[in-house]
Amino acid sequence: MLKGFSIFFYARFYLMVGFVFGTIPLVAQTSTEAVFSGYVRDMETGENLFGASIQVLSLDSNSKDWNTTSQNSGYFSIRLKTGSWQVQVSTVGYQSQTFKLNLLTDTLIRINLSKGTEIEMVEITSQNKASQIRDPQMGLTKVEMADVKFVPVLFGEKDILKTIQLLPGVMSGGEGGSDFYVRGGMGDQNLILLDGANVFNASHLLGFFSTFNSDAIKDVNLYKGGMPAEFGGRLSSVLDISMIEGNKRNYGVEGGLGLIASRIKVEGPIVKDKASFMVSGRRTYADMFLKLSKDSAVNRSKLFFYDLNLKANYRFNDRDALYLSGYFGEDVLGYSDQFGFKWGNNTSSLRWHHLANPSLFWNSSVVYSNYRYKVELLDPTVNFEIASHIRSAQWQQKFQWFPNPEHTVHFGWEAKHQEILPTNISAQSNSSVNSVFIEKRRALEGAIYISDEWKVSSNFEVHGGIRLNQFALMGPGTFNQYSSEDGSIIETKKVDSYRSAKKYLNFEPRLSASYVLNDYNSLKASYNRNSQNLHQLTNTTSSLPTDTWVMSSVNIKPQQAEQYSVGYYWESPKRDYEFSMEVYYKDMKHQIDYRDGANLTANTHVEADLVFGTGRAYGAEWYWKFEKGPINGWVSYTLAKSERRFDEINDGTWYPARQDRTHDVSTVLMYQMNPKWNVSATFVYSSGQAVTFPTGKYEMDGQIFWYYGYRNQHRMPDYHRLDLGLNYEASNSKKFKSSWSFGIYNAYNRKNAYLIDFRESETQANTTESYKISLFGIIPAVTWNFKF
Amino acid sequence: MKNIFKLIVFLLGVLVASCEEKIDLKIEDSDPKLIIKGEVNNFMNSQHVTVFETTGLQDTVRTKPISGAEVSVQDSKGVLYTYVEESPGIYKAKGMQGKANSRYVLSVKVNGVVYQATSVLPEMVQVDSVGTYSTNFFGRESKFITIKYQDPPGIPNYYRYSISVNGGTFEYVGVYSDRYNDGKYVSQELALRDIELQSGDKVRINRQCIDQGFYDFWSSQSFSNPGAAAPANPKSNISNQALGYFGAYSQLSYQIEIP
Repeated sequence: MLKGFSIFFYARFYLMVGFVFGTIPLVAQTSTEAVFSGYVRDMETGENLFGASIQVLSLDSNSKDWNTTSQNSGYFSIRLKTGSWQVQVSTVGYQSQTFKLNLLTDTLIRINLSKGTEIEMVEITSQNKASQIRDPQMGLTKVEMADVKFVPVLFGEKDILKTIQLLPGVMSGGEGGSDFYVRGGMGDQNLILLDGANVFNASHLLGFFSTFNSDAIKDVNLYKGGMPAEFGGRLSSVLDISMIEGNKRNYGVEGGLGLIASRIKVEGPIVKDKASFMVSGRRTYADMFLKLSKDSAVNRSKLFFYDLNLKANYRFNDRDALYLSGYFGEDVLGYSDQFGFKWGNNTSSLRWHHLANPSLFWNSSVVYSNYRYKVELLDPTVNFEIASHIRSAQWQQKFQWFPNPEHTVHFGWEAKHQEILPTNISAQSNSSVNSVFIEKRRALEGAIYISDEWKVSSNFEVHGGIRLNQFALMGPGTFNQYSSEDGSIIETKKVDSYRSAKKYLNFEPRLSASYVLNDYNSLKASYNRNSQNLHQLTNTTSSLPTDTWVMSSVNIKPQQAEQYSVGYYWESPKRDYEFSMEVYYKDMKHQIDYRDGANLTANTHVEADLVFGTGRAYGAEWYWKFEKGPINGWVSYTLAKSERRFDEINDGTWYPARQDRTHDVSTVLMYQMNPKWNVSATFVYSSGQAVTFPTGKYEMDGQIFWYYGYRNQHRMPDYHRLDLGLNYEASNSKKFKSSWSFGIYNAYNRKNAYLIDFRESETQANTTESYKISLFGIIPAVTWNFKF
Repeated sequence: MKNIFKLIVFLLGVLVASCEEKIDLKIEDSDPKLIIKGEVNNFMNSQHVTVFETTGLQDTVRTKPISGAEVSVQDSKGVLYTYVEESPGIYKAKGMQGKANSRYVLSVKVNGVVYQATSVLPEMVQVDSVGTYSTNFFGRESKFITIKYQDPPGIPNYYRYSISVNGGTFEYVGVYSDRYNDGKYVSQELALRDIELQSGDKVRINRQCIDQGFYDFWSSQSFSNPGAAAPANPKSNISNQALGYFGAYSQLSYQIEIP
């Protein structure tokens, strides 16, 4: 295993460790320094605010100015010289707060920000800038839930996964779908976390809806590159989603009635200012129409999905808080009582936030995730059940230490147990099929990480870290090694319980740096290496609930990616315009595909049908965001290429990955006409993705057969679409608020190609005609929302 | 599995108002590719091998026959049958009848390149009964042919069916393997893609017991659907990257009138 890592790499690794430990001067407790710390919260709801910027400007001439940001419990900490400071706290969507601090001793304060619809004009000083310019974190996009509210989407179901598809470097997995691809990666290379728990399948109803009910979501952060060392396990991206904790001051009910689904959310204090809860649910009701049928087989059929999000928290004091969150969602399909198909995710996490001292806090979490599906056929002659699941349980311990204003150190570890039950068939004795039992696969995965955010000088900041990941495939089980030539078994190994069948160790260095040219311009660069031990096998264009998951094994090596990126950032002095450009190059190793005609379902020897290759992706992303009074929105453009190379495919030459799209443009425009009316529009354009079309034909037994040459050598037609939205705040009394939201998906009824079908011409014998099949024409939607 | 598919199609139908439109695509044709189709059966006393090439998408013929190939088949006993070109691209061996459990080796020489394939003729698996079955799916009645038989346990079996309605040409229905029902008493439902069976229809069913190479070709035909993520040519059991298949099979025919 280690032969893959060069001596050069070891040198780099030790440099990195030296970087983290060597540069942090041990802090002497001198009387001239004190820790200024606190919590940033929402004035109205008491909700913790993550990512708020805290600037401290020295009022004494001999001290420097500093800044920091609040962490996910709303906590911030900074060690300062005693004396007079001016503190300014700001975050998007809230009114900034400025106050004077006379720091004599360690001080912990609570800062409550009120929501502000307009960005407050603040005095411009050298440090008083939004974090984008200074923060070395690259490839990070914070999705504003306020934007999600106004972005029009298919069927009017507000959806964060569809909104992030409008960002540069993020591509839609398909018409109307919630699948997404980041920087040329596959769909399974996105780490989707809900309050720290893995969500294995983030879509409902064949991908048209995501599992995230936006009512229950507080923060969404998408990392496309330069991932912090605390995240690992996927190659392409991290989508870190946090749920609302629940209003600590007042009870509230919020909901909506839509064409497809209805939703309701209840939140409120359990103990005022200490404990609160949030419960949010959503259910579709397409199946209600089935009930109207006179046919008993039809009116007993089922077709729906639901989501239930729960969160509760308790703040013991300023040092300790507990957060409990859960998500339960399921899709149910059934025909009469002969056939049933269910799939869904559960996640739950319990997090304990603890302040060891004002400069050190930790979060300890126990997290459980489960995804499963079940198909039942209860026909008397058939009578069998197909089931599969993937489960993981983990413990995460994450520390943050603020030794001095120059450094913030993150370190921690996690231990995970993961189990996959591959597709199994259990049949009754009278069934016409046999049971198929395929062994469960288990793995233990451990990771440790450390990283340092180091403000080297007033205009240079570096984040460096390393993550070590140990993966062990565990017994009991029979493990086959297959020939890469023809998939025949080379070696069979029986492994007992508590013994490992295969281990992989991955070193993942992460580095990013920012150089501030002046108050409005900065340059950034980053490097990250990621590894992945859980792989999804799919043989359709979009992900299906029944897709097979496999772990790294004797045959499957961990996927690895190395990404290099550089970027330029600009902000206008009034902060009403923002511009960024990022360029990236990504190298991917041990990518997975499968042999032609492979059977991926209920196949004991599925690994024999896999082939392994490499990938590379590169591109440039432009992002222009504006917030000019009542008008805001963004324009993003991505120019990209994503390629793969497998010995077994296209004679071992580089070929475009299926998700390769050269141009991708998204435009979002929102206009608040007056307090009652908001109009919005999105326009997307992308050049066609790679596809394999037939390049010849032949006949067998009277049937026409298409001949396929090389894979992915053709392009789908260009895709473009305009969506429109209109929001109207109907009544605005203190007690009861209601609003209407109207949407038009695909406003100019563009027939975008979903797939291309080839047929023989009916008029000119034996010649070929191509037909474009489109999924959605113009689709209106309406939702009524209420809040009290 | 068929039910799942039906349900998904229904579901898509509910959600999606799909539509289609003819478009013009400029697609460059590949160089012609050699295809060999050879079958050996147990019920005729002459056998055929077809050798041909792919044609361009806009060509007015479906295939281009290859003349002048040297075609032969050798059986387990070492008897060599030399095929004679009967009409362009169609080669025939007279006085040759396949026998169960016999191994056949095909050899085709085209432009100096030799293409080879092997197939073993499987024994016929006896059918218990042939009947019909009707089902009601979302208010629409459909009629199927059902074939009942005991699958022999412990060995892989593959079946291929084609159906002729009221004396029409035989249409390919599908290939089935006993991967999920080895050794079971099987009730196989058969339905034609384009024709709804009606009461009074006279139906002939050809049931073939085929081997794996034959099965793989026809079962992987579904992967050649342009909607697949990576459409591919059906799996061939012929050497030197020729497309097609060589398969030996046994066959019995059944007749039934739809009640």
